[in-house]
Amino acid sequence: MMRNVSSILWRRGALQAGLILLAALAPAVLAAWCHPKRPAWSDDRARVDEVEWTAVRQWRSPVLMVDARSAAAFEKGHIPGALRLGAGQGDEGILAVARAWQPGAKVVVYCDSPRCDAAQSAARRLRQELGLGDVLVLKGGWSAWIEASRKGR
Amino acid sequence: MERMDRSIQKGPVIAMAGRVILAAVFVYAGVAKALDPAGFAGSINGYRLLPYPACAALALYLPWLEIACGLGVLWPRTRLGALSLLFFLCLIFGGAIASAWMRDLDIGCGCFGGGEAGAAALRGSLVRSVMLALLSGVLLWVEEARCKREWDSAGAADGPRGMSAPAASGPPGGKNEVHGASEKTKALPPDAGTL
Repeated sequence: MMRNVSSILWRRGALQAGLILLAALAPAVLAAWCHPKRPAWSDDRARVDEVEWTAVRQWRSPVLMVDARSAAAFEKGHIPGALRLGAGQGDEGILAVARAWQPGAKVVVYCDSPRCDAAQSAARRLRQELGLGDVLVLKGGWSAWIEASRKGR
Repeated sequence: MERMDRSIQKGPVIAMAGRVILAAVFVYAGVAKALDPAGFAGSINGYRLLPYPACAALALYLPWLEIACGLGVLWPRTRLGALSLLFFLCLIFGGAIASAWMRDLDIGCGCFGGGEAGAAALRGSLVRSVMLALLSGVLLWVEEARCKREWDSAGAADGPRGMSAPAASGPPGGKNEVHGASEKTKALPPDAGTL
């Protein structure tokens, strides 16, 4: 008897779960079609190009460095002149970059290491929200910059 | 005895508070991510578990699933399904966060559409996921027990024949109870499995 009740409850729960899964599909399809911030379907479109620090140093155009790491890591140390644009930051980070950016300047975003993705997210945000075209991600991030500084490059 | 009665009376209130908390957390998380699916796709991609198109599809679908589940928890007719889904979602989220933490990925959890990156933030998110999984698991167990209890009491109220069972088309103990059905009907009501 108890097994019967359990199996009925299980079936009822599964049916309800199925209906919830279906109900969520309609707004998701609508968002894929017309959401102003819908994601790109291809990684190539979404991925921001990376650049080596040695190449950045050779640029003649002004460079604006943007730090996408945590506030604590930024406080400990950052590339001189870098502005912080963390994932948890609201509009103030974006506004600070908008104020500091000069026409013709390239923006280079970095996070901790090759394993981190925060720089990619921040770079995409700068492209989407400020419409900046020349935004790149520093290959190797903060670790690569520290390494290059030690070697005096 | 009086103390026991009081704790029994408090049970549904505590369960209701738990459901409201769970619903609020998931509706908030869902809305925060539904506002910026592109950003959320980047967060999922950061876990390096799925190809990018799958991340994009999930970023469009998951926030709405969380909102639907959060609201479903508050409605008795979808509570069982919503709690089951939330329990499994929390386990999956916890597994993904734990894998990112173990691989030493420097990412944020992305649970509420952004947040700090790093191992400490991931540890905090993992603890939160485990707590939410526990809460939804306990609420699922409470809901199942409540349904069974009401089913049994409906059967007992029908006398020694024990021939009745709440119809599955409504919450147990609701308006749609069927009385006087056969034993076979009790084992499997004709409309079992409906909302």
